[in-house]
Amino acid sequence: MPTLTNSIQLNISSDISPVSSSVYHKRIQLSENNKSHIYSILAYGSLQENWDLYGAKKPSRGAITKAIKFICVELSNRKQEVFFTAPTPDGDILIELKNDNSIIEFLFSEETDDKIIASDDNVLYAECILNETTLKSYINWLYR
Amino acid sequence: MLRRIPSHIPNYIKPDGSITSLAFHKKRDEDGVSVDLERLSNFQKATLGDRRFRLLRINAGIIRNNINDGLETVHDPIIGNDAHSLIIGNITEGKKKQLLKASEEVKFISEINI
Repeated sequence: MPTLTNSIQLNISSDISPVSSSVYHKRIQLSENNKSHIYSILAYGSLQENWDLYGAKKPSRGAITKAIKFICVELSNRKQEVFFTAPTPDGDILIELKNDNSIIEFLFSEETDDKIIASDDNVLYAECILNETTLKSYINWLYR
Repeated sequence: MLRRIPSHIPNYIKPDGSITSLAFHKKRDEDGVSVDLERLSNFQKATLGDRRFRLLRINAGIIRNNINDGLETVHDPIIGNDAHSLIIGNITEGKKKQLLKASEEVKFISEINI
């Protein structure tokens, strides 16, 4: 497992996932909380098929790489703290931000478009494909 | 209806004690969300005796009548599990959250009286 310090030079291709051919070199400030969630996501890579005993797929390397890059780049740059992460039974990765009873979920997939989902007290508010515009507007909604 | 959820690695229970709606996630290649019919199952059977899992209970009537919108439960026995059933229909993100909200956790009560 790679060592993450407070100020790190993260090489996604060699330190986190051998899948990505692109090498990402940038000094990233990661909070202890976000580092801990990155470790959790890395650990999901060790899950076996059928980890939920309902036939869940092993989390895909592509989804894991995207999720970790998202925390390192998009969330850490915006000083956002991850609240919760989990693998989905499809092998995707969920990242969640929380503010009071409002939640934004990000779903990273190797097979489909990445999604962003907003909910209040477990009632769906909106969902759409994740991109720079939707990310900004959903984070604004979270702290409205 | 009983649905097991992982509570170790991964853990579907969040730091604030709430449960992620992934608990009712339907896989892309599946016909429905697998559950156990409670009258043919119990805590041990539904968790397969594996303490890394916890258990949610949801009433089939609530799925049909309250959540509705095309959701239905069907008994779908499989080899080794007569209680196996499915929640079928278009299980959207909103429906997953409704299912979660309508469910409750089943607490394990030891059958041994000390």
